[in-house]
Amino acid sequence: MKEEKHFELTRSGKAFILLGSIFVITGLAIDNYMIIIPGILFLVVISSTFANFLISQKFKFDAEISVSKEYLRSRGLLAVSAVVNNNSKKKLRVKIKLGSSYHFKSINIPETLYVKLNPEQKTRLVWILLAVRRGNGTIGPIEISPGPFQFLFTNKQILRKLINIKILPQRPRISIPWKTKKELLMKMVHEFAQRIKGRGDEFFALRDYLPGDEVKHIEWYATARHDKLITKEYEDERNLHFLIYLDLGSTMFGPKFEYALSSIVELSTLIKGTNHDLAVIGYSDMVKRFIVPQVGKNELRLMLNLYDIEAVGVQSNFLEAVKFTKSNQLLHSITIIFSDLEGDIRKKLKGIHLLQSMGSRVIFVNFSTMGFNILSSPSWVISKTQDMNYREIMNHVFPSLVKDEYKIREKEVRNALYAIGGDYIEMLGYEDNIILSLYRLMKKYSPTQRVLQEALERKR
Amino acid sequence: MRIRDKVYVEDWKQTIITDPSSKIIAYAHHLFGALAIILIVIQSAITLNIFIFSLWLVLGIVILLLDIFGGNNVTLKGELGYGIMFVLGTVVSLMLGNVNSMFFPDTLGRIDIILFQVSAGICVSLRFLVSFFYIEFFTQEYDYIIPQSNHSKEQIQLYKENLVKTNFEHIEIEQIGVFQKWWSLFQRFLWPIVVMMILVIFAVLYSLLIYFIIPDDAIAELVTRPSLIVIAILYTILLVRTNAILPKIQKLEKSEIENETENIEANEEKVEIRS
Repeated sequence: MKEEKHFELTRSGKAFILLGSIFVITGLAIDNYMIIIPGILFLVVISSTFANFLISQKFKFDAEISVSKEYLRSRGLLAVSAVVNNNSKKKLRVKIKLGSSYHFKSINIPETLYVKLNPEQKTRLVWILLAVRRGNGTIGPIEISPGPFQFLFTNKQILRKLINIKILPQRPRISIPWKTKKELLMKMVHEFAQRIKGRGDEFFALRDYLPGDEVKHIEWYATARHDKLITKEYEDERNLHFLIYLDLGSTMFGPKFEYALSSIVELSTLIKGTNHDLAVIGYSDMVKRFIVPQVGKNELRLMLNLYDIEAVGVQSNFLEAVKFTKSNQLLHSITIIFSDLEGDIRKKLKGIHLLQSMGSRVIFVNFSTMGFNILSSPSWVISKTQDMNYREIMNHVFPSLVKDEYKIREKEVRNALYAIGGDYIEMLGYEDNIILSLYRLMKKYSPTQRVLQEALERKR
Repeated sequence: MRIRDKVYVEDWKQTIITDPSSKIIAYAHHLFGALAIILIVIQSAITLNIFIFSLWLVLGIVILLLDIFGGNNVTLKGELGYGIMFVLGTVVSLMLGNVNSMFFPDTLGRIDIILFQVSAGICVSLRFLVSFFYIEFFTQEYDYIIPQSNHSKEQIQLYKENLVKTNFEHIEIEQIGVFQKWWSLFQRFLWPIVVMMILVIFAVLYSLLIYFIIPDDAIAELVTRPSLIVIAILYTILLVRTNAILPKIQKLEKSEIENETENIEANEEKVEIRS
């Protein structure tokens, strides 16, 4: 490990030298011990830092840091082990600081520790860190400071070793059983897969024979029963092509964006190993990212593509994403839009009808719910304030205003979606899951539900 | 950086290191500051000088209020402010001082005044020493998070159990206690204090010598004090010069290390060429 020494009298240290000499000289000039004594203290403190600098020249340390893993899910834990060796022949009490990027926070013990190092003996220190943010995190270097008063005189040995750690989108809170996932997929295939009649080898229905139909497909029993030519109709069952639009607009910052990424990963685990496929388009005012994970081993690969993706500071424009889809002739049978209801809602819906004309079923997933947006949750804000009037405003006025506005926006989105035969779902928070939401949606399409709804309509 | 996530806030709690001794030390720091001011105020009351008394009363109240509102937040800036306020108060009261005042230059011989001066000086020094200790050990980035919800507690428990018998097995780190911290600090004071004592003894011997040669003369006063002041100035210059030399030492060390690595690399290259 590369070793580096760092010594520096800080600005406060210089100020204290000045203050010390002023105290002593003034005190001597006016015969006042009240000022001389603190002045001498300042000079002694500064002298002790210098003396320790000279003594600590002899000290030498070795340190080895290792981490338990190099890929990590956000909000996951990482163990960091450091073995520090004191090469000098003296028992030392030192300050050890583990450097880490802002992606990590130490659990139960601070990153800076005061420990005793016995001569020529290895000391093992283990930190458990929580990855609080997604992105490219680093662990290291280790700083060992043997001298006193580091804020006056920096005297440390830096053992440089940086370990890069990729922090991937976080894991959803609830795990869905595989059986439910499969069931959902079956339902989706049944409802959404593009069927092309006449081709393929899966039986679809019986119909009257028309000139041009193949003779070998004539169903003879039915022909005999109905006394006219009846032919079997076949259809081609296609794969599901999931196309996910991820909104990278300015309104998607924060936990909802993190959870949108997690949802994409969750969907990719669903189609892992099946013959369906998935593509992700990240768009803001233009298409920023287009990811096609390969079927099979796609989960980690997709996550590695998503680990450094961030929402950008401009309003998103959905039309650009649709144009990209059309110009590149991307196959899609289910389009899922991960977005929210904030900002300019018309810009978010512009071009949505084009998707239908391309033969796709549109599902809009709304992430701007109370569960994700901490500022719109009054209880969190109230815990920070003492003012009663403000409290009342936050309790009654603010949520109702926000809710009214949200209801209007939700209605607008629903209308736009129902006009093109699309669907609208909401993610209610970390306790919700994209798979569960889709499952709830598919219930709407189940035959029993349909019969029930028809009966209800008839009653009206 | 603040994390605006409701679930994170529910699961984890940001904590700053809270040793019970840290509070005691912070209170001791306030106590010594207040004690010094009280001593000065009492002395200025004895002088029967209304100006000095009111000046230190106002200064004392200001310092006390600043300390109370600052709470346990001991900063270097605050301490510098305290020191500067102290010097300013002294300079102003020097102009207003009378025969009974501890700020009057001609009252050095009186034992009661020396006692007041020394005790106030010790209180101020102790305040500074305690605040230095506090800043060093209790205020610098010692924050961490602790699990709050059951979910996070279970997460940590499971993680620790999974790491048993690996290099990352959880061990309780034995950190040094407050007394050991104080002890290590005093150990580091030892040599500088010895050096300073030698200097002070030399200065005292020198002044005694001058008193011996020129007894009870005005010239003695003119020689002794300036000589001590000159020593103080010389010592300050010594510290400043040492500070100026440090970067040069660093540069020398760096160049030596670089030379060594270059030599090693050159040797390796030679070996490669030979092979």
